[in-house]
Amino acid sequence: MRRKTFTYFLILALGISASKAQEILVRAVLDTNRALIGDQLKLNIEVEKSGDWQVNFPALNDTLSEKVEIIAVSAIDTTPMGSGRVKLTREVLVTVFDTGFYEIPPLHFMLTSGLHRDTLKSLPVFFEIVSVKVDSALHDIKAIERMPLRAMEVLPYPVAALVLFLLTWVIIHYIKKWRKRSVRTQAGVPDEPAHVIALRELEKLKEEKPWQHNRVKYYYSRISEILRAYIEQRFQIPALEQTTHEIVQIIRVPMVGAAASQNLAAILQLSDLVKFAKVIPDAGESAVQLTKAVAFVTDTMMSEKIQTDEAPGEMIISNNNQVLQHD
Amino acid sequence: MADISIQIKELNEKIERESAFIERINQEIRKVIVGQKHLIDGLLIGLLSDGHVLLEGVPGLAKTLAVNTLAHTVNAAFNRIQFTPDLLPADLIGTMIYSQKNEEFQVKKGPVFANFVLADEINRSPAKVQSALLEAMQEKQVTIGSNTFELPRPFMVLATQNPIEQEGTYPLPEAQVDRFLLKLVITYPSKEEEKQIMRENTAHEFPAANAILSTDDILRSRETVKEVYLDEKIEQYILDIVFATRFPADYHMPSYTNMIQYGASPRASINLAKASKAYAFIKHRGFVIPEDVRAVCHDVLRHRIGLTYEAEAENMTTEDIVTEILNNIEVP
Repeated sequence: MRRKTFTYFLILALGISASKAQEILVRAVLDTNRALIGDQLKLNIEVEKSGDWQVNFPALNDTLSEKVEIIAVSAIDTTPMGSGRVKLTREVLVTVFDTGFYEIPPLHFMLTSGLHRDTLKSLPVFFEIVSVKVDSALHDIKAIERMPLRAMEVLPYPVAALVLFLLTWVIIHYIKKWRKRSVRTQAGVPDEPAHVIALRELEKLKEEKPWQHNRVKYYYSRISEILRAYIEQRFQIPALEQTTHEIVQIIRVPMVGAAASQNLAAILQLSDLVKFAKVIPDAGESAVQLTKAVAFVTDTMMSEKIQTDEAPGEMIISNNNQVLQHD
Repeated sequence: MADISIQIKELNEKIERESAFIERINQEIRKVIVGQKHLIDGLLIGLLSDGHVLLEGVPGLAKTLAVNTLAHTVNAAFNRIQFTPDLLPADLIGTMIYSQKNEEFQVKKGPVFANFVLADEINRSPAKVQSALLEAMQEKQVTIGSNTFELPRPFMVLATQNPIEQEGTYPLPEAQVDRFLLKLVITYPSKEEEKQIMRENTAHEFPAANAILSTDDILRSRETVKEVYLDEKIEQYILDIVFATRFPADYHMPSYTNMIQYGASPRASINLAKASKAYAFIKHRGFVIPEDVRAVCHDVLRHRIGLTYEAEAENMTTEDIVTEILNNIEVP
């Protein structure tokens, strides 16, 4: 009798538990059961329950088992399923850095409904982690890939060459034009010969007659300046930057003749005395200096004449009253 | 020719008279020194312009002998100081020493108290000794302790130095080098001159110069040199030359702007004028002409221009710069 009663109660208790268990479903599902080492696997944890049950998901730390590491854990998502039932889901991203067979152990869920408490656990999940397949066979070195030649790749070169050619042509053309123009300018306005300038300046000085207007120092400074400028242009020596002694040393008898050399020395030395030693020659003496200066210029001047009609390039040079001819 | 200004004519005559001793002094010096005309002219310019002279050249070019000889042609006190690395300022100007007999400090004057002081190999001593000469050279006086002493007149420092590239030399500070009226660069004698030098030095007796001048003669000549006429045009020429060392671009030498670190000081203008007057005096002239300025220009300016690193990298010397300036500035 006692045994019968126990059996009856046991069947009744199991019936109640079964009815409760049917109300709640827990599940842990992995998206694959085979993955490469280091791959990320998604573990879906699902709970289906009726509204009056409170479910506590298992606490998840860094790992699920010894080598199964947790990378990320999502928030719990709730989806209504109708008839007062809801589905709670949570995604856990896991990975393993070693090869072999692994097990995600059962996850424990705490259930509460009023005074009733229970624990449910999911089934263990098995999966395999494999390594990357290594090809150990030896292969030949691959040949260089030949890419097909495209027009856009070649086009810049002929274009650049063309631009360079055009640029060179323009520059050469411009230089030629500029040369022609400068030659024309030179031909149009010939430089005045040194003696022309000197004689004109001396003539101007003669008209001014500064020695008669108490401007003796100015007069001798001008004579000296005109002659030195003439010597600079005529003999190509920097006479304006040279002293009387230096000029006289260069312009000697063999170069210009005795009379011209003596004239020059006399004028420059007297000019120095007037300029630097307060010497005041009389009016007659001063007038003579101008004549001597003109004589020096005319004795040493160089005149050039280019005969263009009969013999182009023929040049007649009169130097110190000597006429030379060049073909 | 005509009316020469009486004033200049008289001056010319006076200078011809007063400068007659130049030939005699030249003769005396030439008894001992062969060649080196430029050196002798430079020493005379220094003597007549109340300036100090720095002589530079490699050893054995008769720098010391020339100074010695010049000093001996004048009947004056002469001291020679050999500059060494361990020389002290007190060895030069003097010091206070304790007299046990009198129980007080007494002044012991140094060798700088003489009419002619030969500072031999001046750049063998460090700057503090060289600078000890500054007051003596500029102010013609020396301060020992709390007492200041006038130096005898005429007072002239003739310093010799080896080229600064040589080992164991200290370059003279700019402030001191500027106080030398002239820096003469001594070059080797010609073959003929050297033959004569060799003969004189191997003969039984080495010639000696006689004293032909007194200190009063020198002081009087200095006063006459001051009277030499310097026209405004020459003054302008001197200023142009000195200003060209400072602002070369203004004188058609823009490429020299980066070559010159600092140009010549106003002391250069003063000394160029003084030296030009002395040179005219030596040539027995009562007025200065551009030749005189050009003749002394290198000696007056070569130690007053500072070169940049760029100029040194291009092996340019102050000599080149002065030459270029003279070639670019119009002569009046």
